[in-house]
Amino acid sequence: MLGTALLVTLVGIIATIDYNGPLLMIHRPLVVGAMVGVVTGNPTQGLIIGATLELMWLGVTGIGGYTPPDTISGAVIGTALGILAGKGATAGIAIAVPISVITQQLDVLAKTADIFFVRKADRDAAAGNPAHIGLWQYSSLGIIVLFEVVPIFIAVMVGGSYVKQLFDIIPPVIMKGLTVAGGILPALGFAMLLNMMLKKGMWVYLLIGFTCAAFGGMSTIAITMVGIVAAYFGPLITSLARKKTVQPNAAAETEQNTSSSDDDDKEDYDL
Amino acid sequence: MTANKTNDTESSVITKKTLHHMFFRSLMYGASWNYERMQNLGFLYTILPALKKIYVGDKPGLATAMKRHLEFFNTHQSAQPFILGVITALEEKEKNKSAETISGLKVGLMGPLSGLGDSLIWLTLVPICFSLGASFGKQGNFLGIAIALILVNIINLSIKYFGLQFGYHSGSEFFTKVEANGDMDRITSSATALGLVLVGGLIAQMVAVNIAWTFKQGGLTVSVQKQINDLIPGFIPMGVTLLLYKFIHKGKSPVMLILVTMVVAIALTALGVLK
Repeated sequence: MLGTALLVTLVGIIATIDYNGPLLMIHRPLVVGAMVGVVTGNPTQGLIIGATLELMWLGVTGIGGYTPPDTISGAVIGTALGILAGKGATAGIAIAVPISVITQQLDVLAKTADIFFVRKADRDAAAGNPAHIGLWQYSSLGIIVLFEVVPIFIAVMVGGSYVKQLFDIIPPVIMKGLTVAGGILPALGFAMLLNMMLKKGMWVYLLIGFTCAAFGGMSTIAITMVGIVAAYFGPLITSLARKKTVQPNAAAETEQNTSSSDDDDKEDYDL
Repeated sequence: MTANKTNDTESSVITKKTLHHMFFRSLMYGASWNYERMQNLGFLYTILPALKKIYVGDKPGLATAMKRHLEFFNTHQSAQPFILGVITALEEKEKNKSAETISGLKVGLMGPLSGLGDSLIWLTLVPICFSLGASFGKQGNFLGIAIALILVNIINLSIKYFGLQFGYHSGSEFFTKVEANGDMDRITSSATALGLVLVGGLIAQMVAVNIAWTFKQGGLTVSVQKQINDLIPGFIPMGVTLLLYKFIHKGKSPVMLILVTMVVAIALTALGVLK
């Protein structure tokens, strides 16, 4: 158990460093799930749990200093316990979601605690001494990693057996319902993305992609190609139209603005 | 490389090696994110190799410059190397004479570029690559991870590396030109458009809502789900997504929505509506 817990913690360390450092995206739930699957002896199961979490958390990003649910510890602990308890993807998701919310607060704590090192840097700057700036930079990272992986280690060390017992008591209808929820939850990931992307007049792009997939049965790669074409010509046409008729277009724009909430509803009927 | 030569004529202290050093440092740029001044220490850490060369033998000057770069700073990770390049060129040319210009330019660049970076990287590149990877992964296929990671990193690391080079050699003029032309808005809306096309497709492919209801028609058991698939495929997933979008748009917390979705899914499964 200790060996497994340490290996799972190592995955947590790698993911946390990536998230706060080079962003090679090995901190994404898909990759984290697969890595945890490898160290717990069930790569395929880990990959599947990771893929499910990835879709659910697709829209979870730390944009503009907002602290999102902690998908790293959620994915690491959820995948590890789901596999170790032998309960698979359903249990993995049911664990990952609450974990990510609880540990979110720890990230806030860590990134408040590391102000200590910023103060150290202030002092060095005042003295014109550049020697220790790198040390403060990496000490901050150390604090952030520590706050992230200690809960992971504890959860895997003590959690495995409890989780198995817990999920043995849960009636099958709830487990089945959670599996159904696993199919629906990607909708929330997409909804979060839409909330950031869907600006006035942009819903037509959503419709293009939807039609290609739902009626055309096209693959994701094919849809990307269609998307590139649409993304090239769409804004070009809009900007040309704007240049041609500045006055009437400005009026139309404000009109569009006021009815933008109707636009979203209309989409259902337009389909 | 020709641009490099023109800069060298003024006997530049920033060599190719310095820029490479700064590039590698910029990979660990976010390591000291804090709630006080966000990426301030990170910025100082990345620009330090240049400052050490520019203010060599000028300790008070270095102190002033170091303090300046510990001011509040926050931008998109992939955009930071470009800003770093622009600011390095300015530091080299003006030093502490134009402290206010340097600080002002940093603040001026960080806003628009983080918007651009967010829509290009977080809202387009990452969702595209990783939803692709996840669609493979759900079937137990590891190929998706490899594709996602290779694609993301080729693009993202190039933006960082060439952003720094370009920012240093010709960044400031370029940026003013782009902003005056309104190209920035067009790039952002193109990225968003591409992302939206993909999300539209993925909703139909990835969201699974299966109706369990069946009814009898002349001795034949007809599945409601099959009827829906034949007539209006993907409408239920799209409807559910738009419903959740409405809730999020109204400011409901995503975490609460996850829990509500779970409860509703369990209830509807127990009632035999979904399977």
